Amino acid sequence: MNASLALIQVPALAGVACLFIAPDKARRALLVGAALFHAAAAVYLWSAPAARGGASAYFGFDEVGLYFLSVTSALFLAVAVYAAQFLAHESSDALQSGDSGPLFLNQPERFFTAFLLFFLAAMTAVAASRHLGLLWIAVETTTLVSAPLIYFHRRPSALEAMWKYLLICSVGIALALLGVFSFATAATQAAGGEGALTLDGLIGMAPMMDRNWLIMAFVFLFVGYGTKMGLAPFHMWLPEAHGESPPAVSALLSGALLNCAFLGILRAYQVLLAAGLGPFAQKILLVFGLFSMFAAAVFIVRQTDYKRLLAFSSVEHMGIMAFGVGVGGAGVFGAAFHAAAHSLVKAALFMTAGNILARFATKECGAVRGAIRDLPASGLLWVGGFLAITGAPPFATFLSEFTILKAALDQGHPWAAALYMLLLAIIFMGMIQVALNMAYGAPSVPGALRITSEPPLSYLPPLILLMGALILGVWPPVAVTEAIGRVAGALGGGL
Amino acid sequence: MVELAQAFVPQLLNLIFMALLITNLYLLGSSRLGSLIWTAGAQGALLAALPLFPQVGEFSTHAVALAAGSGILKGAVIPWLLLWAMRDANIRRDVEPLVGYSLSLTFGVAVTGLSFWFAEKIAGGLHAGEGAPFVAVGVSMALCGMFLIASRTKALTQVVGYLTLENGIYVFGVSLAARQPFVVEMGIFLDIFVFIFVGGIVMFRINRTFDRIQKGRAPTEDAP
Repeated sequence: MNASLALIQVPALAGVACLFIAPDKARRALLVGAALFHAAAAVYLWSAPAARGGASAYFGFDEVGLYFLSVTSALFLAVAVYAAQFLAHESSDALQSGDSGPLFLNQPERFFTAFLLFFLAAMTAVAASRHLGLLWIAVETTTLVSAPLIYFHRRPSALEAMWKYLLICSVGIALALLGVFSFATAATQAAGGEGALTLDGLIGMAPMMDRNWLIMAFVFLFVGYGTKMGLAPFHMWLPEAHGESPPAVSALLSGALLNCAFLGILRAYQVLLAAGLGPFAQKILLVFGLFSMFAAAVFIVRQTDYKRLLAFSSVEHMGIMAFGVGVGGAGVFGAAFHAAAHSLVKAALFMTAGNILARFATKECGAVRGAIRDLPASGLLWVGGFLAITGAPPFATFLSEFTILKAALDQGHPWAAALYMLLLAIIFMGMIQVALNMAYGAPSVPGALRITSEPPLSYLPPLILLMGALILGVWPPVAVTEAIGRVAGALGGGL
Repeated sequence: MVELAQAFVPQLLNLIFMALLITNLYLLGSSRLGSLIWTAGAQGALLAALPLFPQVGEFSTHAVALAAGSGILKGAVIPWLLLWAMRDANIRRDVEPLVGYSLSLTFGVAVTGLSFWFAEKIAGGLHAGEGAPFVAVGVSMALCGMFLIASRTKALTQVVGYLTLENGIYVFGVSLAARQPFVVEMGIFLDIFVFIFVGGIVMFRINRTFDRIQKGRAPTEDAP
């Protein structure tokens, strides 16, 4: 039995149903229910290899796909619970944006919920694709169904962010198609006829394929999916889209979508590895990884908008992951581990940022003071999240970033390792200062100093995600590290 | 008669390639939005003929269907849609470039030369050398399309740029059409973006994007 199709179909059908369900509460319950089903199915698939779909199927999970699926699934469950609460508190009247923006309306909730579920289905399809053409279509679908989510708050700045996202990612996806065509050409040439575009077929035939075409395929796919992943200098859409989206969407874009795009690059990387072109691909990943960290550092220092700060931090972390695969060896393990660690922490931070934004009504870092006294749970989560995202010790991000650093030294990249450390340090200082300024001191909201009631469902989902990052950092379960080890093994690395 | 056709067909293919490259340069040098759309339509009609050539593959129903489908879509439906959007959204007719026309043309010529060099280098072995011009023309069209997107401020001009990028990918991929079923057809998924862009322009009255003047300024500044 191939359960992978059910994981795509159930969220998609639930999304369609959301379009027709009138009561808000029923729709929100369906959102959480579908997320629960998805998460339960992902856990089940780890224990039941037979249900993952055979190697010959177009849709099925290998361990790499299943790992990325699990991260997405866990994140979506937390976001669904958070979003249900968020939607219950969002007014349907005209709202005032931020400081002095124009009045705007929200998108009808049924569309928002439906597209959230479509988004989950599309991301599942990315993780499940065993065929590079299908993978490409799935990645394109994620763009199409996530664009309306960015425009939930119907104000001009959100429209511009959505437009930029669509335009830049559509160019990226077009270039990725050239990469798919190049793989098809290489496969056709090697097979002397119709060459398969399935992942296993490509990996099997990779040693016979023409090197030039493989290099071209990788470069196009790297630029194309790298645009979607937010690697510098193709990241231009990212800060605005993350800044303008509602918190639940920012969390999903950053924690789940960027990983899916990374998976697209990793699939192409697997083929190049099999062809013996791993060192070439690693060089590209290493250089662009470091450059992304550099570009992020430039924009993080002196950043005045805290949602954009988090967005640029995502550029940094995508860079760290690319760098990890680029150095190879244990770095691949570090990168795979970092994919989960970053997602948990970043999603928690975006949700917390949503709570702060809801209370202080500004995205300016400087205008928020005393978050801990005003919103005790969210304020503490904010500080904890920033410590985690900058790689402070007890958290999983520390473990993964340290593994990558050690691998860079072991694999003979001392200068790259030094630059990596320097950039991490600069970003740490830039971000921690902002977090502390926002968290401590006397609250800046007029009439504050009273403890406002925070609905538990606004801080429990981020708290649970952050606890997850803490547990993975302090006491990573053996089953998890073993699974990540096998993922790294499939990607040509390992401890 | 057969010999005549055999001598004529490769020449005709070269003629189409030449015409495609000329439309490319015309897109970069044109200052009127209307003629830009007409040129993109002509480009679509020209490349629809490509699957019918023996250099691409044997004459088959699949090839005819591909040619007819892409001809109708790229040569008629999409250009008509763009012209309609231009009228409906009441968009001013000039192109508003960030980079001047002569500089744009210089870029186009340079990119075309580079593409042929690149294609010769990489695709020399493909289908006994027949694939190289497809790669060269495709890549140069794709690059010119991206240049149009980056160097023009008006949203509708950027859509024409995107169409050119997409056309280039089609030319690149069409040499695979006979050997790999449903590979070129994947390009149709890119047309979804074109429909969404045009829909967005009409629905939200988007005139200009990427205003570099002021952060957070709305793209809808020309809205009535």
